[in-house]
Amino acid sequence: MTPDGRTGAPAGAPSAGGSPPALELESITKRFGGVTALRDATVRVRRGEVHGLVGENGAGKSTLLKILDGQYPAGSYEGVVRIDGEAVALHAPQDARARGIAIVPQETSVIETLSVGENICFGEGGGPFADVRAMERHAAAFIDQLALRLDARTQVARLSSSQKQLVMIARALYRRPRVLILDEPTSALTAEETARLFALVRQLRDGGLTCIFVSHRLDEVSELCDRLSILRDGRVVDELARADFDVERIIGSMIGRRLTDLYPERTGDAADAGPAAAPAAPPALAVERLSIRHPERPGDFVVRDVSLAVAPGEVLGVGGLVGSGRSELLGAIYGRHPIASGRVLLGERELRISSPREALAAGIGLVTEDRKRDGLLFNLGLRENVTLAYLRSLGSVVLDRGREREIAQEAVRRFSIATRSIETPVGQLSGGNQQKVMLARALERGPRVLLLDEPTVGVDVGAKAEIYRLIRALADAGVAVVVVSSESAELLGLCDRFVVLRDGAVVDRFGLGEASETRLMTAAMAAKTSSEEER
Amino acid sequence: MEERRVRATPGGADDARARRLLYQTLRVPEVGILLALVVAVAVFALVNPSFVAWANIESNVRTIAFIGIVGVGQAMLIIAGEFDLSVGSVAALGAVVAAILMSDHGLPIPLAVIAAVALGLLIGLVNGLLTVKVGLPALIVTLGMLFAARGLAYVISGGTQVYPLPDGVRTLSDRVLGLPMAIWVFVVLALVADVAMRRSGFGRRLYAVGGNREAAQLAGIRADRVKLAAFMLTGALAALAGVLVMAQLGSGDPQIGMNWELAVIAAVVVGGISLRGGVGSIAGALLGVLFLQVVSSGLVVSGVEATLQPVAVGTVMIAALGIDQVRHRRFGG
Ligand SMILES: Nc1ncnc2c1ncn2[C@@H]1O[C@H](COP(=O)(O)OP(=O)(O)OP(=O)(O)O)[C@@H](O)[C@H]1O
Ligand SMILES: [Mg+2]
Repeated sequence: MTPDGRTGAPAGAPSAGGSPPALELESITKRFGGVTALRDATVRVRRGEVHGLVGENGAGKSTLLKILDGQYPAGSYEGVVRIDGEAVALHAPQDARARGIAIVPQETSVIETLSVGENICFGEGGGPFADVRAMERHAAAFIDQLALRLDARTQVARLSSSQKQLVMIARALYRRPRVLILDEPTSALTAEETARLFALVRQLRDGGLTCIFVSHRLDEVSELCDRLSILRDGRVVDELARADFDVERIIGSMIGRRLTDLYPERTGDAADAGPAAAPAAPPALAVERLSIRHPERPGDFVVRDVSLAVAPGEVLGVGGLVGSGRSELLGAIYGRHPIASGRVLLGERELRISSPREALAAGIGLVTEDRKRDGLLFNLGLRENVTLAYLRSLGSVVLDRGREREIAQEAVRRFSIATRSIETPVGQLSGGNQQKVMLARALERGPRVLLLDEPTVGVDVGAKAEIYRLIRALADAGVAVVVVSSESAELLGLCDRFVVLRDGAVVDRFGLGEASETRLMTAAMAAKTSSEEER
Repeated sequence: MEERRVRATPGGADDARARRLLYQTLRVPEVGILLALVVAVAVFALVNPSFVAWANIESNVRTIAFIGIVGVGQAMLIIAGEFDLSVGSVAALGAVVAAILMSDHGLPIPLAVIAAVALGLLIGLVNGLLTVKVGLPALIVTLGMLFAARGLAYVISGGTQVYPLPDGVRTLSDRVLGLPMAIWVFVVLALVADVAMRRSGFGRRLYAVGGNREAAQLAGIRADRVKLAAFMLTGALAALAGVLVMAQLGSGDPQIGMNWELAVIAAVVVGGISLRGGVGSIAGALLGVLFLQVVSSGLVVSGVEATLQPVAVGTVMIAALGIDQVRHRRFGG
């Protein structure tokens, strides 16, 4: 690969084979004001293949997909879009729909107030007096066909982020598309759901579906895709056939340099961790026999009798499936959910709080898993988002703007946030950079205890490595960190000790010495299937 | 990384700069309404030059002073993600209460005014508590208050105007430095509010809570309190506006503020305040108030039938919402 990444039309572009590519995005250049998101990018997708699209945060993946989906109308960019060899002008998502293109966008976009079934069938016939029951029946049959774990009648607002993702996938497939676009579909899914999705995509591909798949998890990309286009800085810098997939090469093309270590080295006690299932030092945070009531089912609990402890300088990994009570546990420590029984100790002191505000004041920071739902303020810019938890220190009446700018600029530097300026609305940042803004905010007040719920959702490998390094550096500086993650590799690479939750209870705990992916997964899933049947 | 991108823009740097300038200008939210305002004034001035005569300008500004004062509160409240339909009734109640306190009970004028404003504050508190703490929709709560407060104004006043008022009331409608008092109150309030929304912690919290209540709360902001404060401010400003109208009329009329609620909401929405919450500015909102006033008085000056005015206002509002949608889609938001 040439160092400037300007390979133009990628070598080995598929001109052979007689029939034209199912999709061809040729020499696309797309600007947003002063930002060029895509420059002369060409991607060709053959019929019946799963085509991977990878690149760092902000490389232009979502932008390319939105062009293909008609969200950025023809004329707002340079270049040509061809479908089956025919140049088309897509002016709106309806145009794409009419040509059999369906997209599952990166951002959650479901109608919270409607049921799963209505969301799936929304806009598909029915007329103004859509029969909700009929919709839900159709949807239920369809869900069964896809073998997804969803109930068509549940209101979407009650679903977890992973279930919402499934709804979006089902909705796209319900239209029987010829081309399916998946923009980071797996970042919110559990391992099990991901496996199910892959099986489904393969099956549909064998039936002739063409699919574009975006993910930051390169193992997934290697597993699923037939070919791969790599974007960097808005350019297509490499194109690989399955035979040539090589993680190092892919990463090299993506970030334009070699990535040496994804996970930072552990220092201190953790490095020579024996069978330490308990923390070495007196804990900074201890949770004792904590239970949290289920918000809807009276008498039931989402977290039961959980005890754990984290020492300063330690990173505790919390494993388990989505819905196992991990997020609620963090939420309760942070004063977001009321505690039914048990207690939380901060150092020696019992923490008695009833709001996130008090948690912040006590030196606890939280990064939530769903930045759209309860993370970022999309009506404001990067600066305001970074300093949101810090307003009091910026002045009791009038905010110190100079100070605020400095803080935001420092955050941009420290986290290498790719942005035009600190005033850019967060909605215009790419997904991974939005995640960095959330981290920056949580760290602004210098917490002693940091709770991270899926801290690298939608973050590219390069940035992941940075975030891991940052977390490790914080730990080394004496912060006690709790990380919830659905990626076993991430937990194993990052954490010193592990606790696994299942159905709200701790089912396993172990130190680094005994940790393995198998142990994590076995603990998380054991007996899961039988309890699942009951519901 | 970004800098590299910008520098690497191929060809005509001037072209790029011009495009960027245009883009940035269009992104300033107040530009649209300001342009519309300038065009409207120009058109009406051409049709009838007396439209830009000082007397007409002053009378227009005085008219918007009252609604503008209410608009300041309403804009803040809508930015915080709620709204208040009871402002007109609260203005009437404030006016009647102040009038009765000063004329029948002989309370000193400043105290009567303060009492009326405090009453507005209290009503705002009730609206806020029912909406924020009890969780009823603001539409229902403030619609109920619209009837209740108006009814109370009629009951207290016996259904008639309260007058005569003590002579001192005239100071409230006197000219100060060449302009009526109400205009000064409005201008000062508008300036303070605009700066507060842009620069103060309170303003930032209003935007945060209106943008995403849950996220704001997780960042340590007491969302409920912020909303309550906005409700109370709206109530207080409505009562204050009512008192100023009372001073100008020379009587406490229970019909003061009729239909203000919708006029105010229409105006601030035209001025770029989004009913979704979290978006807009005081400057924009007040330009919206001014714009609607220009349109309706301009139509009168141009000889259009008065009955057609509501049609014009409605059209403008829908057009503004349409433009807002397009802007939202193009520039994100
Ligand atoms: N509406 C917009 N206005 C301005 N700039 C934008 C807008 N949308 C995207 N951008 C910019 O375009 C570039 C490409 O963004 P895009 O969302 O396509 O990245 P991505 O490859 O999908 O990244 P991620 O992996 O983080 O989702 C980024 O620099 C982003 O800031
Ligand atoms: Mg993206």
